[in-house]
Amino acid sequence: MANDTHGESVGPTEAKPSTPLDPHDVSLIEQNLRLTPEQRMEQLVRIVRFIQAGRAALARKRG
Amino acid sequence: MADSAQFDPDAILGVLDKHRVDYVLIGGLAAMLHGAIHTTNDADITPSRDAQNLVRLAAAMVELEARIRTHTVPEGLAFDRSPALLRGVAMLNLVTKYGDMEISFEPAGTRGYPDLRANAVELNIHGNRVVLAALADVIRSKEAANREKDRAVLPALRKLAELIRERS
Repeated sequence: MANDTHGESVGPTEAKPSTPLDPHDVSLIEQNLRLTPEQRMEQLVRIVRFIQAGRAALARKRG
Repeated sequence: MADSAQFDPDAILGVLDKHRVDYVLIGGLAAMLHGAIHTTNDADITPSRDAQNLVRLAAAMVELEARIRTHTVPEGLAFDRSPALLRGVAMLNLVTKYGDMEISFEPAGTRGYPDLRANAVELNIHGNRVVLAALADVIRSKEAANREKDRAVLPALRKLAELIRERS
């Protein structure tokens, strides 16, 4: 009864208009595609190291 | 900027710290520091609009070789990295020699730096001073921005906030 509200058929629902992709995200995607797989891995490792250190600092702060 | 495409948060935030820029780290990177599961590869900051801070921020932009990011020009577009320009803009999407960053003086749902700084926490990460926005403020901003990508991460961020509250 997906198309039935309060016992009244409302017919097929319209497809939601697709949300346009943020140009900011497009540039980030393209930036990633310019990297080799090895460079993408290096980038990921750098981010993980930063996050690990940051989370440890935050945990110390929270006591 | 041959090797510049790789995002290096330590290096970007290190330059901001070196120039003693007053800012709050917001967005996806801030959420990750709080424990979020979604990754990002850019740094979003909200700097103070104080005149002296804009001078320091402009100097940091020069050292970072910041350019306006656009998907049509991979290396970015040159711009006037001056305090005067920074005073007149609301937001800048940038590519730097250490990867991408976004400057937003008044993120959606907030009143800018003083508002975010009030609940932020100051951390030392790999020797750099990093002022991290409160998770509640990151959530508040994403709720207000209400883009599809924000809506996609909000349920997990709200759950994260709930679990942190329960455990504290």
